[in-house]
Amino acid sequence: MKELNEQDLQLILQHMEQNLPHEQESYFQQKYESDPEFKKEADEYRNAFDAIRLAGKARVKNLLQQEATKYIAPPAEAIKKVYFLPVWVGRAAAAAVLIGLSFFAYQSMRSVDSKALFAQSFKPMKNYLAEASRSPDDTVTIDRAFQNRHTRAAVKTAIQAVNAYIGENYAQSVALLSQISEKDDTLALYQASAYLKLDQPKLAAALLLPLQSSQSELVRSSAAWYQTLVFLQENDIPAVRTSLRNILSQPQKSSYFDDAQTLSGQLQRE
Amino acid sequence: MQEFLNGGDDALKKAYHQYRHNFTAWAKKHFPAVDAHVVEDVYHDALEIFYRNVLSGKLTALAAPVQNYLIGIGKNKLLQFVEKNKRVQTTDTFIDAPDQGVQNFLDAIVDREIDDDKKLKLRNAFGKLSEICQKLLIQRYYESRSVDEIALAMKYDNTNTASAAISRCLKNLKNLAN
Repeated sequence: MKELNEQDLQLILQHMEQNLPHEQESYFQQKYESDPEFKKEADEYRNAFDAIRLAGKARVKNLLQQEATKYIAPPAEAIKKVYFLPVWVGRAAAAAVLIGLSFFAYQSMRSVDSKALFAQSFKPMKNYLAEASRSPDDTVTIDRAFQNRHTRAAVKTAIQAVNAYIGENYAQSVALLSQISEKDDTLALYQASAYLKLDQPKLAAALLLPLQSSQSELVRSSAAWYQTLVFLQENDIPAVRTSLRNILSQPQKSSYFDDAQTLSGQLQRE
Repeated sequence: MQEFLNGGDDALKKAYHQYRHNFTAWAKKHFPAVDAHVVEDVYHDALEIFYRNVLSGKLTALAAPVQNYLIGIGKNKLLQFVEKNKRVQTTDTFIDAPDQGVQNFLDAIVDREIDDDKKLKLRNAFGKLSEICQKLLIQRYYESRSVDEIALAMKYDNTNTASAAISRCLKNLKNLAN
């Protein structure tokens, strides 16, 4: 395909920025309808501008969500789990600090853009609500989706929490999920992955730990993957590599095998 | 508005706290059946749209207090939500029509809907750009900063170098997104 001339490129860019004077806008429309090459280029630039708009909007909404957390009570249940960790965890943490320090020189010599890698690797949980058949009363839907393990009130809260999560409103989702005292594994995964998006890897790790010994293979593999992302968010690259090796060497192929392989490849290139 | 233009994130955070109470109180009165988290999300949307329009220069003078603009955008969003979720009812209380200036602004808002699959694809494409490219493109085309401002903020030697970098990044994104 031939390159756009500078004049046409400027015409497209100004149209995308909604800066074209009226008569130029008519010219744009006429050219768009009559010149297929121009139309293709304009459509491709529209996608690029949409991507920028989505990214800008997400940045602003994340910032506002952080502010919104100031109006929400902290998730007591999750904090309690971290606060009352056994003594050996403290000792292990101290040992980890020492080991971490020895890795420090290595890390500084060979820095990895873990933030960018996290952004590329993180995929939100899918919408389990959407998979269940709809009913006039949504509570039935979620009851089926979450295997009848919750009370009716908890189910309603869970619906709101999952909808908030799917709408990328992670702070609200966490606040709602924290109100459910006996969560099943799926809801715990939603909450842990929401913590990751809120840049709170320690709270995510506290929820993921018990899930890694779940009887469900899907829960175990999801927990292992999100734990890898916890390490990535904490910029603990040796732990990320170990975790990836574990995922990739499982006898039963993990649902996150492809994601793990991609991340492993990216780490090798860094 | 000038604070938005000068202050960036800090101005946005300040505005968030300044107008939140009135917005949520208004929504509670007129849309009592809509959950608080939905109202909060709509408030974020309203503030984001207002912010983007100020930065892009599409809103240069206020015809009414900022709060009226946020409520105007919020009302449309909440009505859309109610329409989608028929079970949620609004109150019978009459909702005042916005001032003409605010209505003109609302009529001019262009916010094309993009389906979820495409959103994912576009987000992934943007995520593949380098951090510098992401910053350049957001500043230039989302925050509508001039190339001069960007060159200064990002410490480029001159405007031409910054402009070339922005063009390169946009072309990369175009290739990644298609």
